[in-house]
Amino acid sequence: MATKKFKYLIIGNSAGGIGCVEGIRRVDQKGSIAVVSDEKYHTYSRPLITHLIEGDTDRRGMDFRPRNFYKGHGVEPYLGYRAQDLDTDRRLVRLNSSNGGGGHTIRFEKLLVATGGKPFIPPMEGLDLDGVTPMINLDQSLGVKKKLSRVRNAVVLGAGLIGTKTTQALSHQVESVTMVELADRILSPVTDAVSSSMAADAFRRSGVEVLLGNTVTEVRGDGKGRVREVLLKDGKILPCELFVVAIGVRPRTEILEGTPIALANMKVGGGIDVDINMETNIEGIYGCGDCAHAHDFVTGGMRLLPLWPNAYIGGRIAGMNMAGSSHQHRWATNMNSVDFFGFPMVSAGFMLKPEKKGFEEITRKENDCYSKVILKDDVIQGFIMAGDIDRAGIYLGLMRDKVMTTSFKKELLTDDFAVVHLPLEVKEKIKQPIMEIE
Amino acid sequence: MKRIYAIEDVCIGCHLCEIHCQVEHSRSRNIIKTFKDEVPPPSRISVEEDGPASFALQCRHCPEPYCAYACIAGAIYQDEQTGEVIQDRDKCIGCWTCVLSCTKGAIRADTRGPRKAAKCDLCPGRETPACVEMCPNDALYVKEEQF
Repeated sequence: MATKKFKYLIIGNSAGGIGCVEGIRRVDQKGSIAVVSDEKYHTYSRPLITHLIEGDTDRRGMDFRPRNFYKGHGVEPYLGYRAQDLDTDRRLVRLNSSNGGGGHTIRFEKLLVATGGKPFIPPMEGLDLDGVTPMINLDQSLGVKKKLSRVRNAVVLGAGLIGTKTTQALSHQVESVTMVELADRILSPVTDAVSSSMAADAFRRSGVEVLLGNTVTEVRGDGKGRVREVLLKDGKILPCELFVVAIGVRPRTEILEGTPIALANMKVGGGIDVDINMETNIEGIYGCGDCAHAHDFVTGGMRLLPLWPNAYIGGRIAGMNMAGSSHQHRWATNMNSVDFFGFPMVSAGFMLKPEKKGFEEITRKENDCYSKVILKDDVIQGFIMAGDIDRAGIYLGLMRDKVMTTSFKKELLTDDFAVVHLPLEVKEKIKQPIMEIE
Repeated sequence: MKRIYAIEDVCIGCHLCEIHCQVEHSRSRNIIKTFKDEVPPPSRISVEEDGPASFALQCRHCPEPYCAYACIAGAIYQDEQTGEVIQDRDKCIGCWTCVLSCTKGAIRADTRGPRKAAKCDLCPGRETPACVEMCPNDALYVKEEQF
């Protein structure tokens, strides 16, 4: 079979892959680009899969870019193809049709691996039953949507970002939803105890049952291949026609097996070991998004940050660098924004004050609003705003720029804290548009 | 592209720019009806005050728009011709990632109906944005800048 040649090959058609296309085209308007995905769909906004179930968007509304995107950017899309047999020496990869059709061999000069994550599913009895699903892609979302009419009770295992968003979506569609979480609070990576309990209250007020310190140990069927109930660790049985497993995601790195591309230690979750330019140890091969590490501008270290903005910007920076520019990805940290039943909450950086010298926290709680800032030697290291999130981005900017807050620390959590309270130099900088990506 | 700037020394903190921004983005576009008959939309410009100092701030239409890069719905994009940072309100699902990402604090939550983010759109259809035109003290001006 003939080998096709592309200057740029991108494996992944989500935030990282699209960011990469846009980054390449910022620098190189001509070089040929191929985008490969084992999903057959036009690029879609993956975080909206739960919103599709909830009903706040539709298939068309989920398009991450207009339908003429590939054509307009000179991209040859290979959608519905799985990339395999990566040969980093000869710069070849094999694409096999996901539905068993034919394949292609692609030769590339530069490669981005943006394969995303795969759900972590703990081993247990009954996972193969109909009505049991993870929730990380459009097929799974469409699958659940199709089954909704015969679901009365749903159980969601895991109260992280995917679990909570799935729970909220289902609560609008089925009679009862129970969210089961092993930790002692929901959303533990993106909250502290106070904000987590406020979010849990928003769920409970809306009729969702939240079970903490518990987990599902077995899934039982109805004898006809469909899920009927789940058994909890404490012996309780929850009847359900839908069971969503949303414990977490792991980097999807199978394509790198047998290649010399370095992966990070499993102790830090694995993932492609890229540098701050998003390049791997093999020149011309890059990684970004949920499958790769990224520089955390708060901790200063490299880590997994499986978040949409990190994937997009990482891809964009990889793309510009693949096309010959020199940029660093200094825009990533643990940052999240959610809204549960009208209760908004944003957070970034450290959620809990590290028990180390120099750290302090300031909090404010009033009625339904809670805010907290964590500082080290007067530089912001993390913050949470719940209930009222106006101007939250200012804290993010101050944290990213490591601005000393000494002269305005008193004002930080006041109602009208804004750019005007900042020292002249900082203020004038913030009033200007952001011109450079770094 | 058009970019709106504030002159801090001239701003008297009257907040009329906010009022007229709300009217411009209301259903009726009538100042009385906006505040009497409607739930007024959030202002997309905000006057910030600290003692005698005050100025108005809205979306800077950054050439490197972090809000657009962060948007999980593909609802914010940069216009290739003008460089304006545009929000597709229909696609927005109100996740507030842009509110968290805008380091100027210039994006607001609009919770009147289905959740939507609200940011300066430079008043499409108007020669001069409402906030600039209605500022009684000429503290706001439009500058044409190279994109």
